[in-house]
Amino acid sequence: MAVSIHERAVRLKKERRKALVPYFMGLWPSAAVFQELVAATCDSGADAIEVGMPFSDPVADGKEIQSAGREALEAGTTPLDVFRESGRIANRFGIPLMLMTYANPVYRMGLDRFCMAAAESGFSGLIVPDVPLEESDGLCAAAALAKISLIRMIAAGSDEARIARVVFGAEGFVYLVSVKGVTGSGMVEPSAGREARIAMSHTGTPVYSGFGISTPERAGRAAAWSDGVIAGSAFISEYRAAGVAGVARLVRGMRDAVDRGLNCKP
Amino acid sequence: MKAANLMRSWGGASVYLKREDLNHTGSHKLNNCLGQALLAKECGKTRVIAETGAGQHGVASATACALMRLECVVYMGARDMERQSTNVEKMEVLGAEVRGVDSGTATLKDAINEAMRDWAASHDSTHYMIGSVVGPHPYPAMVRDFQSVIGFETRRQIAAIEGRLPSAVVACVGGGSNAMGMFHAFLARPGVRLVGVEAFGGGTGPGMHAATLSFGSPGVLHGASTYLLHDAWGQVTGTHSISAGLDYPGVGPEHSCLKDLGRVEYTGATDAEAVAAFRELAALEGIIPALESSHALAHARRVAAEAGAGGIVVVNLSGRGDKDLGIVRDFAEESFLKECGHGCLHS
Repeated sequence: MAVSIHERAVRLKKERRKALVPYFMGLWPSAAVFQELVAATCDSGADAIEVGMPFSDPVADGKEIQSAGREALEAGTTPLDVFRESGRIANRFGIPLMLMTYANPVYRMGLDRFCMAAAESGFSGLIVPDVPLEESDGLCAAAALAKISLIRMIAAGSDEARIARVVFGAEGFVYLVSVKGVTGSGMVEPSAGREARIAMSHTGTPVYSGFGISTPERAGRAAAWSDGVIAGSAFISEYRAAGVAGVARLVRGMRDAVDRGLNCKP
Repeated sequence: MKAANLMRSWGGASVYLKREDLNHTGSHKLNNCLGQALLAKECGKTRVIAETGAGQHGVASATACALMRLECVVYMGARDMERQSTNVEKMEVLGAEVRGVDSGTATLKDAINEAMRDWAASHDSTHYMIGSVVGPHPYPAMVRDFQSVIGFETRRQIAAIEGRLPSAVVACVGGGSNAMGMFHAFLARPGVRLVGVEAFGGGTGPGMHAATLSFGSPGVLHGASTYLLHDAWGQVTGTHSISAGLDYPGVGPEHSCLKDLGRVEYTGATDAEAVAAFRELAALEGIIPALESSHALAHARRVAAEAGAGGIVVVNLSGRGDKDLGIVRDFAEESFLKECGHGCLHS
């Protein structure tokens, strides 16, 4: 049985260690290579894994994750496949797993059924970027029933009142979208450190920054002012260029940079 | 206007056309664009993005932006750019940049996805000018309000001519902005039958039509909970309609609500029925209607028969059909080839 993302995130923060959370699209580029990618990533120092469940209309995603999702769907990937393969990961590596998808696949299956199935497959966190706080009551209740942390998202540019509302009662970690834009795009906003500090002043839950974390250098810089980083698009393009070995190298590079980031002043 | 020749041909009720096709840019879309462009100015935005299917909303957006000196970028599915090339040229002449979208089904839904991605990065300077009663709150309500002039005008005009409310009002539904704008003024008048006509396309199988309310089930797309065409896993499915403006797998959430309440009836017309109605209106009234509006006309014939003599039916003629001449010609050729092939097999 895998450790939960909530326990892992809290412990890392207590030990003053920064988290590195790589993202992979479920069953991409194939079920077997997906397992290899995750295995290599666990060996290279990841603290948790975020698994994408492909959706036909991923509005929060840039070109790289869109293309991986499209390929996964063209290969016939269903939510059940993602649950099954992720369950294998949970059993093999015992690493905390988070599921990232969009509202429609969740609602289509039914909130309770989806969250239960995710929990049974070893997921302890759920990220649904197109369900804002104001619409999340049903999903919150379903996630709580299944003992999964529904990850709250704040954005670079959010004001303090909103950040306070969103992070109130947050579990696992708070996901700070650190670029203005979609995944894999743009530069980390200069103000993101400010939003991270505001969030930290309103919650003890760790704040991880994601979107735009494309290189070890950017990962290191973001880790300096947050509790951890999430990266995804970079691994997809790295896999296309240099295969599983390339991805493992990039994870190690980010690991080093994130750990060194500890010594940087925010 | 009263469609006297059409009435004589159809029999039954008096038939009126609400001539939104006579608006500048040739459709009802400008009603909404002018409102949103003023709003964008008021909010201090300097750039506008829009999505377009048939190109009507894109042209209206480009027009409003030219008038109000706003930079304009229009996202359009690559497939739609091909079948509505005249509108692409119009937008460019008006100073807009048209960006082709290759992702997904390369139609309206994907143009909206791409516009939303742009907006995620650009909202400081940019207003997203959504063209239909879809998307996240407050768009469905705001676009309805800007379009509600259609129904209020209709109510006033028909009262002036006939001295009473119509027995039925018919409008086509893709995202549903012309229909919502028309229906809104009549929702609280239970005596007025309201009929929305979707695109039944080439058949009732998955991917062959765009009739969300007729064949869809509840889902979440583009920030709204509404009826949706999607598979068992919640993947949004491809759609087909001869009219690019109706080719959308979702529908405005207020239409979903009105369907569930039973206040509006939703039905459909096929590609062939729409093309026949297109030709009929051109031949009988000298008006070339948009293929979108032709769906409403196709079904209005039935509504007029049901209303009977003494009834009054208003059809929302939401746009003009110049843009569709090539499509109608190709459709005729394809049908001819199919029939010919069929004949040959049996000879």
